[in-house]
Amino acid sequence: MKHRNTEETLIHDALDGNEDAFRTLVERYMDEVSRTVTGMMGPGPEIDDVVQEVFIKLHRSLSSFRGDSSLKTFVIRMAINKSLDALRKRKRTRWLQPWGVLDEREPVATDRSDRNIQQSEKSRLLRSAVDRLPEKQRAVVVLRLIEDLSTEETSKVLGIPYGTVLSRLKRGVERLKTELGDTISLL
Amino acid sequence: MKNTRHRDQEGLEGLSPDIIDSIQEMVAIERDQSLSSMPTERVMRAIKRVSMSESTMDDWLSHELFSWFRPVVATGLFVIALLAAYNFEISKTNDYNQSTTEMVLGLHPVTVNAAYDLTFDDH
Repeated sequence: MKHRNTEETLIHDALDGNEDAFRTLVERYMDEVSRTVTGMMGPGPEIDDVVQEVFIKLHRSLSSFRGDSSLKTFVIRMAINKSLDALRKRKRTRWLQPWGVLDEREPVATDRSDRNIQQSEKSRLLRSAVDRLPEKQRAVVVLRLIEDLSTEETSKVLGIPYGTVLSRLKRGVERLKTELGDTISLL
Repeated sequence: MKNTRHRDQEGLEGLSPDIIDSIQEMVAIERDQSLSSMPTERVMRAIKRVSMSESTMDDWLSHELFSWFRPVVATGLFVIALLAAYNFEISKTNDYNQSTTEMVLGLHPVTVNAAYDLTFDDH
């Protein structure tokens, strides 16, 4: 309750133009936003920009926040929407690029020891499995598995019914299991 | 960085906790690689930049609107007054039952006589 009150005070102060209050809100939700955006998009130079856009949007629309849901729900919803926009933009850009220029994203491992190579291979497999999920299933998987939100919270963030979250999660998990197979346990 | 709260297992049946942990670990690594240092400061700078450019734009727009509003309204009213005076003048000089529109367009007045008159002007 205290946390909520503090949050309300911060929102109120930020709306009054208090920069420090908004900075505290940014610091408070930086982890959630950056994790959600990275989970949706994978590693890349756009992550910084998308995270920035989420907070710029939050700054603009803070006055429309009515407090029906928590600010966390409000912010994560923005992070999901901005990530989906960026993914569509990325798809358009890739389509327009000549084939030779397409960059293959690969997890960077600076130390090429056996353990790191194994870790890198594991990350590559996981990332490609997550990337192959359709956007709607990926959003649910990111919120449930990476953000550790409950089914109820996920349904509030995405604005979809509880049952839809469960069915998308089920299909997403099935797909992940099929994609990964036994490879992960072998690594 | 890693979420430590109790995980809601609904819908996750059949997916081993190791895989979930590995996905969370992967995202944490990817995020650390992709996010530049001091992200909060970058965000605050960007917000300041955006709100400054927005307020400059707003100021410019409102200034332009206010500076153009009075002359445009005054000119508009003057033109309307001129048109009204012109119409009034035309209607005063109308000797026979001809409407202003008929007079301006050079048409014959529509009267009962004209309606039954079967002669046509030979152009």
